[in-house]
Amino acid sequence: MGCGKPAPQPFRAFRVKEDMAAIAVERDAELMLRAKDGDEASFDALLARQRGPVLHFLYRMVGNQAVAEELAQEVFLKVYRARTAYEPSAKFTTWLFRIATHVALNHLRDRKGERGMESLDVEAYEAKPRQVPDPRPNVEQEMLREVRLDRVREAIQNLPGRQRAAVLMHKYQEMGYAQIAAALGCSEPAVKSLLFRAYEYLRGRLADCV
Amino acid sequence: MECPAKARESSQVLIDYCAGTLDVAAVAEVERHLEQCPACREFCQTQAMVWSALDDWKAEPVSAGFDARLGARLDQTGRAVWWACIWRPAVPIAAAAVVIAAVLLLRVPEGTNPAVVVRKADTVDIDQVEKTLDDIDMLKQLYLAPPEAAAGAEQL
Repeated sequence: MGCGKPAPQPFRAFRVKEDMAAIAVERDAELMLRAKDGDEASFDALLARQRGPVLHFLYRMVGNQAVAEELAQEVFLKVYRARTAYEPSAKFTTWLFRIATHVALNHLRDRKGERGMESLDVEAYEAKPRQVPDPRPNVEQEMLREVRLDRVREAIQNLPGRQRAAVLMHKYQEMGYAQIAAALGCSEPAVKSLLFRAYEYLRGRLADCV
Repeated sequence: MECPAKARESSQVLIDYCAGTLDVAAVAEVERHLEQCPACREFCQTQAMVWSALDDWKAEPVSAGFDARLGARLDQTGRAVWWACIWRPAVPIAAAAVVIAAVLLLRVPEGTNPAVVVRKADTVDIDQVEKTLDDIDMLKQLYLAPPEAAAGAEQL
């Protein structure tokens, strides 16, 4: 098939993945409810489970690891302060990423007027040590990979804040349209529109990346 | 199946197909359509490239001091909350205690009969209250007087 994507998973594997996701969802809500009752250890466990996803989301949103860590701390402080009012009416990750998206979009809005910040972010990317997952010494492949990574980062950073957040939640958090809509505070059709426009732009920017 | 690439509303199914989130039946339908539609095949090819490029973008690891910094801020938050719960009601209580203590210390000389002191204090208080009320009445009459009377008072 022309798309080149992997074959769809068998039904059984699909159900196992769904069941594991459901267990994880229940676990997060259970930990948060215990934290609401004053169980600090449960909050620590929740933090250990969600620290990575939140931090990675914020890193891709703002393009700077140090800033992302500061914002991630803000997110978890807000979660901690709001724990007494938590109600499991929706998935915990929806609530968590709603807070994270709010924090990230506020940061981007505050930073919008600063000039040169985007160029500084590019410099920050360039200053980072390169990842070398393939041990085979193929210089051309490595160079092409770095070029593609730079273009991906740049393309994502060029997306408007809400499109960027929608793509990141859709791609890296594997959130569905309803969950993304709840996190962004909009409707499902609005989310589909955000994603359509975002992916349309990314296809245009990255189509020649091979 | 209507061509998804031609209708924006239905193109989401191609994104879902490339993301691997469609069920088996929907995947089969899309693949049957892709066999006949070059536009949708191109859409899926470019979308798959975007997906692959995004896959290569690995996030940075969490720094070593992240948990310690967050723990310190959480501790401060907890102490601030605890302190506020104690401090807020303590201020008026402490102020009331100081006033009561001051009244007791100023009003009860050593070696005196508390009952006699109470009676004398009542007597003194009543006289003071009457004098105060007389002063208040006088001030009221002064402020309520017509302007001519006030001017005359000023001349005097």
